[in-house]
Amino acid sequence: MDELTREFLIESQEGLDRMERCLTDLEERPHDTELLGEIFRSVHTIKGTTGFLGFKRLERLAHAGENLLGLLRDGKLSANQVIITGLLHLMDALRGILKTIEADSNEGEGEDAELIGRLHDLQHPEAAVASLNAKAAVGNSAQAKAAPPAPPMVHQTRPSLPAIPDAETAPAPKAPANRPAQIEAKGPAIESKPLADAPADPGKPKVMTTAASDSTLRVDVMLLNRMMNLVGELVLTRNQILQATSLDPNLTLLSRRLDMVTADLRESVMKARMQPVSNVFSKFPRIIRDLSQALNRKVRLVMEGQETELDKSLLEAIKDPLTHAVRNSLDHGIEPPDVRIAAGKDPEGTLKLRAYQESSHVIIEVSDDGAGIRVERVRAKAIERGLIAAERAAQMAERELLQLIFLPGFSTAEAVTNVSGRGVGMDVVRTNVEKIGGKVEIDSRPGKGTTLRLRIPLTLAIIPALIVRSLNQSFALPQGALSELVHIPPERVSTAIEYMEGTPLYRLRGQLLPLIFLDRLLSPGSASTSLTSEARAERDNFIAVLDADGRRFGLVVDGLADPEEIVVKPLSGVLKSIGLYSGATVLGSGDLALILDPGSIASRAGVAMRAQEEEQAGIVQEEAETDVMASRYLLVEALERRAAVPLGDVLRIERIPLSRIEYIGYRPVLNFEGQLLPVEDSGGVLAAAGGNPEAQLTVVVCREGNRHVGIAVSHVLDVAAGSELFEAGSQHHASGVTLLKDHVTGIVDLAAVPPLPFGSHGEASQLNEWTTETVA
Amino acid sequence: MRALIVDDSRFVRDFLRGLLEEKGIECEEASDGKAGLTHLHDGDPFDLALVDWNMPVMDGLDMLKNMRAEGYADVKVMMVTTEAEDDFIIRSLDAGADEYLMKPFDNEALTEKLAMLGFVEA
Repeated sequence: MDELTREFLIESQEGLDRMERCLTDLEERPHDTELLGEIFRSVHTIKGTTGFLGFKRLERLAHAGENLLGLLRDGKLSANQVIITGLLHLMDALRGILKTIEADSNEGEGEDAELIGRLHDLQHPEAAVASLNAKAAVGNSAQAKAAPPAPPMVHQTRPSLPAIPDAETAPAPKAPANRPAQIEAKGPAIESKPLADAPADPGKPKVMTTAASDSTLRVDVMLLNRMMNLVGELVLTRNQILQATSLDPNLTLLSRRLDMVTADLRESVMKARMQPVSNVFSKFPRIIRDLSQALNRKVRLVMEGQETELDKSLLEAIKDPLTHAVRNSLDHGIEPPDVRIAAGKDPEGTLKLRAYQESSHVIIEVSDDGAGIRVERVRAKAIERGLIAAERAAQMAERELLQLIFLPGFSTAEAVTNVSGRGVGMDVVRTNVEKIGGKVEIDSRPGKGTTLRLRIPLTLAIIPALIVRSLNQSFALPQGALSELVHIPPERVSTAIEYMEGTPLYRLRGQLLPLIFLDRLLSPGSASTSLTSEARAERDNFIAVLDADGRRFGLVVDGLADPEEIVVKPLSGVLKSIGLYSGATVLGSGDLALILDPGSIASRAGVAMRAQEEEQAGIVQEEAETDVMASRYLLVEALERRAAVPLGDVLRIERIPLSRIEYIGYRPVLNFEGQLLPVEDSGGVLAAAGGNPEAQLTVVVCREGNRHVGIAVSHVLDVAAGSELFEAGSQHHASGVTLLKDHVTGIVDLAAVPPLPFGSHGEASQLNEWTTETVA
Repeated sequence: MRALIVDDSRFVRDFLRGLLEEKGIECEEASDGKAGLTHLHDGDPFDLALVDWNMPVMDGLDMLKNMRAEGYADVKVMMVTTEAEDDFIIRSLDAGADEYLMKPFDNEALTEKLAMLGFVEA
């Protein structure tokens, strides 16, 4: 497609976008001549320019529209609902043809006679005017026929056209989706003087005009992306120069200047990528008009903060989630007029779109004054769909329950409607927003309304990140997903990190946080690189608590470095296919770092997540059944490791000096009330006493079948209620696991304590001698 | 020589500029009548203005009237209109336009009109 055709397509699309906005306003102010003039001009320009390229179908259609619009503009005809609907159809048809041209470079086949006829009929209320216009139309088409065919014209002249200087017009090819009318109006910050001081009546909302070509210019998005990349490179080079030149005072001065210039340049280029959210908001009046008619709702749309700017790529990305949210509001939120009247509300509902900036984020709110979300229904639905255990749901707070609507497979629509409820739910909204580093929040009050809040980062190209270390490499962790950091010093590692079914967990303020060890994730199955539990226990561990994919989890890393503003670089195919990284960056130190993608990590570790949820559900279940089922346990600690002994089996707790422990061979035994007990020392308490006969230790004497056994421990901590969660046959010295005082605790397997060589309960008197002998 | 292109359509401005520059005519652009006047006030003198009719802010006829009222008598004005605006041609000629050019036009038509004004050889 040649450049002129492309220019034509973009300009025509812009015109139609303007027309759309104006048509919506026209419903409220049908006699606003400024609006009518603007709409007329949009169609008129298409008709005027399409002739150059020979798109006859487009020209005929635009012509039919222009005639009708001319009457409206000149006040010979009044706009009404029927006419506006007709004009909307015209707009759709013109858009359709433009799309076809864009795809196939020709107008395609299509029957427009019906629409043209209808547009013609709409002129009719005043017969005289209509006939006059029909005459003009005949004359015009005759003239159009007389004109030489247009396409060859362009082809003749185009190849020999001299290159157009960039600075003047910059007619670069653009992505057709962008809406440069508004870029021009709001300006990619290149503009130097205020725009068109158009004589807009202060009372009326200002109609957007195409003016201002003098102070703004159009720039190819690809070029902007390249500039952004180069600026990124510059930022990195600057960082390195700053580090390298700290010794030479002259260079320091120069590099400080470089620093400042780079920062300014980066800011400017980033600004050039910004577009006002009105680019996305502007399509909602039409959507809402159509939807409210289809759904029998009366809806007033209020838009605020349309001038708020957002990076272009992000703006594109939120278009669909936002549309979905708006549809939801109309479908499930705002009630039909009769229902609203019955509830004592204004029959007309209000839907509010609001955008504003909050530090480095842009917040976009979609709020309605509809029925709100009834949490009871959410609860029931979630249970019905098997998304959550009933016991767990019963305990959830309202706020938590609301979050359930973001779960995949959730939809509260009672019936599948045309509008929403097509199986695509709020989970898609959340996924899409999280994909660009944003967050979704929801607030709802039954009977009052619902507010959905999308929190979007200002830009994706440069993001704040925390640099973490693992396997002696640096990784960048986007701050957006990071909620807190937890430090586990070496001496606490063995107790702080608990295991359940092989899943590592950390207890963060009473909540179980599943852990993912970054080193294990990076080199699965390779024992040589990832740390064994023992090695891990000898060093600091850091947990980065992340929220992604609707879940919270902890990523265990070896070290933390500084937070840094990183420039996101795309990944090559090989690295991309790994799926753990969202990009790469060069750090100030010059090192390369991969950017971790919390969402992928979360789904990669999905198994662990499910385990956590089941376990959470388990707790609820256990608590519910505590009265009947719960067992009581003696909670003991042996060298910082906790263990549980079933209380029913405990006979006595003996505090003894080490000297009372005797040995049969290498087996420790205790003379307890005339009986020799084998002493189980899997915790290593005896060895830790270091042979000092005065050292005090505790032995828990238990009944096991028809014999007694002793368990050597450092302390007895408590007696607590809990119940066995599952059998863990493979676990050494534990018959199972229980949850005691919010800690997953292994139950000491008494049966596994081997019997003494001479039978399980030999006579103490008889053996005393023998053992004494042995020890001596 | 220098020409001022005044049209709210980028497409038309690009198209005209292409044809004019090919003939060695230096071009400036404005997207409405008011901006066009500003160019006249601030820039180097122009020999020719090609002015669209229907533009936002200030239309071509008003620009033409203003130009003539402000004494830019030396600048030739070529109104560039669409066929639906037949009667406007008369009005613009009355208001002091020197030529008119019908959209859509091609190089030949433009050259012919430029020749009429004596800027190029036909």
